[in-house]
Amino acid sequence: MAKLNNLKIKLDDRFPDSQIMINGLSDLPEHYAPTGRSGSHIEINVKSRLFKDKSLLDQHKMIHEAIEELMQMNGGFIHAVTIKTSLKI
Amino acid sequence: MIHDKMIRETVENNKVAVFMKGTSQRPACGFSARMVQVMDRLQVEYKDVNILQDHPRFAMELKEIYGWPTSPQLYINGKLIGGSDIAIEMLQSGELQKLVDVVE
Repeated sequence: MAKLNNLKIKLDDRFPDSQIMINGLSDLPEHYAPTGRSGSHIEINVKSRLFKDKSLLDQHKMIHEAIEELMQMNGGFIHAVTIKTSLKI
Repeated sequence: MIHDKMIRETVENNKVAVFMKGTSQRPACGFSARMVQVMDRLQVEYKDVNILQDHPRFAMELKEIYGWPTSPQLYINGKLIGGSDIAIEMLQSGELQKLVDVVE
């Protein structure tokens, strides 16, 4: 839970005044981690004004950057992430 | 970067390219399997490249070159489109079909 809290703080910092939903899906089964490293699969849903005039690709990149330190590639706990972004009017 | 040339050539020389875990015939991760399903729906020819051939270096080099940190990754007409979430959204909106239909 502390891990998800940490994730929430990072997203809140990057996307103030936005609707943020995080769903920590169960740890991936072994066959989803053929590289021998398991980890968490996280679902992130952000609705923000900051996405105005940004392409879908850039919106996802903004999320990637916000959570970069928490990705497994960089020593964090997140193995996989599902992202859904939308524009807050 | 030992895969730099191969990565760039794959993106530049194929109208549609997918970097994924496993192959289109045998995806090795749920997200890559979803990307294959998107490609099946599009009924488009594409080049699949297995990033697990050199793990984790291949993925790190991809991130270095094109700035995308996760797999799978879809490229159309030499441009990064995104991962499986974006591919699914753009399949549903019809945008992906439009990109594939562009003749270059």
